[in-house]
Amino acid sequence: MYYVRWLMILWIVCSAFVQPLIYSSNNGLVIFRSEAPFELINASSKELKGALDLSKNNFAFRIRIRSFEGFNSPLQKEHFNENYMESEKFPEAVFNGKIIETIDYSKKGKYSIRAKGKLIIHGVEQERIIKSDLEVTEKGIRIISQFSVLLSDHAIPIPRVVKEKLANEINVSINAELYAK
Amino acid sequence: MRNSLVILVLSCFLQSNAQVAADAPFTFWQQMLSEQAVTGKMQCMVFSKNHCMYIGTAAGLYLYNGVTVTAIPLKEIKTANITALHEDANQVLWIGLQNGSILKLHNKQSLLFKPQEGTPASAISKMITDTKGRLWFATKGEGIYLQDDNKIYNINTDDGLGDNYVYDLELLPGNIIAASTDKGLSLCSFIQSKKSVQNFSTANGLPDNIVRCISTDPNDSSTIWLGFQQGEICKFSLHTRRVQLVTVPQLKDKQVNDLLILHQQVWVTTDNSVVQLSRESQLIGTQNPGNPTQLMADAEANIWLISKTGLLKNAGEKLQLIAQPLPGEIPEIHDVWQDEEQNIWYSIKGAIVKYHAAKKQKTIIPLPGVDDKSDITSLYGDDENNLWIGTMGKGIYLLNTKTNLVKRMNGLPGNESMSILSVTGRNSNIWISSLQGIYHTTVTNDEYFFQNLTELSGIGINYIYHIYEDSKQRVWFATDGKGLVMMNNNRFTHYGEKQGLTAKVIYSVTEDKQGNIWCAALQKGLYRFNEKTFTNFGLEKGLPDLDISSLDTDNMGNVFCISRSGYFLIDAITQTVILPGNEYRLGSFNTDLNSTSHTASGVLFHTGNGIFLYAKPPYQQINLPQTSITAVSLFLKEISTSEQKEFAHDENNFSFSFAGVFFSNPALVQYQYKLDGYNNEWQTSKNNEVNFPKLQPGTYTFRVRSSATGFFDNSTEAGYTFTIRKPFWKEWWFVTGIILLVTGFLVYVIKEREKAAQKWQQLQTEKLQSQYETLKNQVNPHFLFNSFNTLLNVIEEDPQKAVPYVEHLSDFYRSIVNMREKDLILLADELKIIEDYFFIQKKRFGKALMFENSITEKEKVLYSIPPLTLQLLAENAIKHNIVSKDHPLVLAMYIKDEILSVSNNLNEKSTREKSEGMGLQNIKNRFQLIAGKEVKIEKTTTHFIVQLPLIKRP
Repeated sequence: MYYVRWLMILWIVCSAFVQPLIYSSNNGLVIFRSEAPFELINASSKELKGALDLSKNNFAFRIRIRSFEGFNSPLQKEHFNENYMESEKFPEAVFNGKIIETIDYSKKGKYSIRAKGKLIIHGVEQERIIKSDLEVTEKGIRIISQFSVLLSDHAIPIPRVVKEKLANEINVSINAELYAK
Repeated sequence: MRNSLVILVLSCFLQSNAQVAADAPFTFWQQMLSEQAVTGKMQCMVFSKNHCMYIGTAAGLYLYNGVTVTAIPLKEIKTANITALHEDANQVLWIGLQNGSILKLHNKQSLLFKPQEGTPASAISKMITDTKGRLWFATKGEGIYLQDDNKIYNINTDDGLGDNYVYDLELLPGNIIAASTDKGLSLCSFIQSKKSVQNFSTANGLPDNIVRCISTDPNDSSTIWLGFQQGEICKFSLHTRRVQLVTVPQLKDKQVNDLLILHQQVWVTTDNSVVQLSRESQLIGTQNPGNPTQLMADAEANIWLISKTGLLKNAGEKLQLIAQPLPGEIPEIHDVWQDEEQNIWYSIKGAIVKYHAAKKQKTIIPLPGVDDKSDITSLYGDDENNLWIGTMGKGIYLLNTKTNLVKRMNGLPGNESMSILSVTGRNSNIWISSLQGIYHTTVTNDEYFFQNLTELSGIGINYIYHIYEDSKQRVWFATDGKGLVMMNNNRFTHYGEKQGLTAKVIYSVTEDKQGNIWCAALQKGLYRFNEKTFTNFGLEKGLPDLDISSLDTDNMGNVFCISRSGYFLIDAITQTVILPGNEYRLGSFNTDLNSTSHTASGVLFHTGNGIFLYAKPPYQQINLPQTSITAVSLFLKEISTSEQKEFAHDENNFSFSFAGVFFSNPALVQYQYKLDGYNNEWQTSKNNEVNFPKLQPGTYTFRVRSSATGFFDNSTEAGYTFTIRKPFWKEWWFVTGIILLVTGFLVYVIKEREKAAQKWQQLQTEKLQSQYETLKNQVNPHFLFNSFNTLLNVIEEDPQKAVPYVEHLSDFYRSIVNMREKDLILLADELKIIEDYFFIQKKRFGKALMFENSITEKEKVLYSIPPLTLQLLAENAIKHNIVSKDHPLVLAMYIKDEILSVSNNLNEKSTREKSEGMGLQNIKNRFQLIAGKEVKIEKTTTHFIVQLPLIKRP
């Protein structure tokens, strides 16, 4: 254990001198929107947690399902958590992977990127390529993205009764600002 | 286990809008398998060497032969989510799974591929074998693996690979492997355990880093094609490493799923479209058959596609709809032509239509003076950009294909009212057949001069349907009623029945690449002329129709025919009729005579649905059904044909399943089979199974062949030879052994019987002799004399006692008479005789004769003895010894160890009574014969002892 402690000290000392490589966020915004013929459902959460490793161009994002607020009624939220998302069983949605494009993070500006990785919702994994905007700013890195999720892709059943009230295609938008650790 | 699904072949055209179709020619997709035909989503396909197709789904492996789809069980794994399939040169099928496992399937036996290094944990995306037989497999997350010398090597980002997520692999010359990843294209090689990787990304000019597919170019081995995630495609030169972008607006922002590079076209699939391009990147058409993914060409040059709705097929480059005239124009079309600039020319009422598919240009050029009543009958384009137009009643027009200017042919006398049946040509020669006569001219830029051949030909003013100039500059005239006439150097030769041409009405003539002349005759099919004789091709040669209205040659020099039932070909080399495909949506066939056009790219013809181009693609290897034996079963249980060739005599119920794979037209396939060694006649059947129960021992060859035309010469054949052994009892060694054994046994039995008979004979003789002896003795006058003397004395002394004496004497004789016939009697009976005898003799000798009998009552009934043995011994004793008061004779009998001893004291007479000495010998013989035992005779100085072996009472 002795040398492990030494290594940790060494790592802390070193990292103090090297440009930060890991950017992270704890309060990214996620909005989802279901546009069914008879009902429009909106919900959002500000608890998107994410990290971006600039050296490897890897990223990982996750969000607690129960943190979504909004909806058209408290009952709807209950249905969302219990009937559809089964939040007890699958408390989080996760997206991790890599950024295809090579970005010069030292240059400020807006980049269009593709994030490729595994999107896990409702315990079902889908490989996705998601187009996003990545902006390197003074403070950190902002990621803005819009994409759609098919409920059928993630084995989320829509009862026939609510077919007109819940769309299979859910539009998701992300806005997160990541800061150096 | 045999999950056979008969798949309804549904004609399915997926672009339904006829108006759109009129602008953009397209290909008809035919649904071969619905998505319900298999379990799980179809994910990949590969063709096997025997021409069948393997399909990998998210839940299993299937084999498809165009008619049935069969699930192949993979016992080694619970769920087979198959993501990649590959068959190597040894016909081993490699099956790559989503979970990274790999299975091998060979001879229907599946085996988990278990290299000692382990298998990947990421999905297998592609597998290929290089020319050294090394297996390369790509993974979605772990880079590339290869198997060399039974070792597994990994090529990943640590070795310089752009990215570990690999979509596709392609084998390039020099065993270089092109890999497409999330970071561009990587060219990898593995030479003498040395990995080398070269990467190409956006930095090198690629339009995108995510390369989703790679395709080699069949026309250019130094070029590969790449398909990208954002909808670009490009050509990549392996020599210059230059990227040539192919801009297709229809692909923008659609990720490319697969690329198929053909001889003249490029096919691209995206998530919602199939885009067909020319090699020059011009759009030919786009369709949406529902989530198209993998594209593949089979050996018949059909194109296959996996889509959401199932497995689709079309004729690919073989058959293209190149123009779709308006529905109103179609009935008016009599002839078609295509010029070098890909303009399509067709005739309608009173005008010629010029159409360019890619440019979507359509021009209608009216012919002055030609009204609705005068049909345009024939089109021919010469090398000088002139389109020759023949009309009914209005003569010949000339149309400049560049300027679209029309002029009447003035040099032809009477042209204004001429009715043209056919205008044809070759090189600069033009041949015109009209109701007014036959004319010839040569193409000039100047005035035309016409030569009238009507008088020369000797055909007269008759219908000549077609004039054809062959490659030897001979001109053939297809006449109505005078057979075929050939002109060579202005000399005419008539062909008819003498040469085997039994038809009088000839419609059309052509020449195949072998130089044979073919002609189509009214209701007689075709005739082939090999410079000597004509051979008829009728229904028996597989022709689908006897009335062929147009005859031509395709781009490969094979004979192309059109009849009411459709189009078909005759292979110039094998002379086999080829039905190229079940071309749904072709519509009704036009029966106008000679309405096809031979162009550089193929044969043009028109049907009720449009103008089509048939061309045999150079990569088409197969045009006949491919026969294979799919299963051999013994008592309905499948056996391995590679391992089992010999069977026991009772393994005699064989079933054969076979397939004639002909994807172009599976419904037409029929079979002929025979079992050599069982019957020698080919049996024709539509069934793909046959059973032979109770086959006799022998060697058999099951042979099967398949055909789409019913004509089986030149068809592919499959066979399986096997032997049913004779049962061991029919083997020569066994039969010989048995014969020897039976013969031996018979010989033995006969010998034994002979022996027994001899013995019996001897016994009979002995018995007779004994009886004779005994009787002789008893009637010996001495005995009688002595007995009567004694009787006389007894009567004198005491007449009362004479009665028992006579009774005993009588008993004695009765016993002798009774017993003499028998072989054996009870010892008790014999003793009774001897007692009677002694009673008689005692009367004579009194106390000088003594009898000591120590045989118990129990022993008397326990044993048997040949009759009169003891009596004879007693008689002998009395006969040979002095019996007197001084020398009494004591006869003793006793049993010891089953031997009866009879002894008497010896006091021999000096004068021996006459004796034959046969009594003792007779006893000896009888014992020998009856019991097989020896009688011992012992003579001491005092006693004479005979030892008789007793015989247990049966």
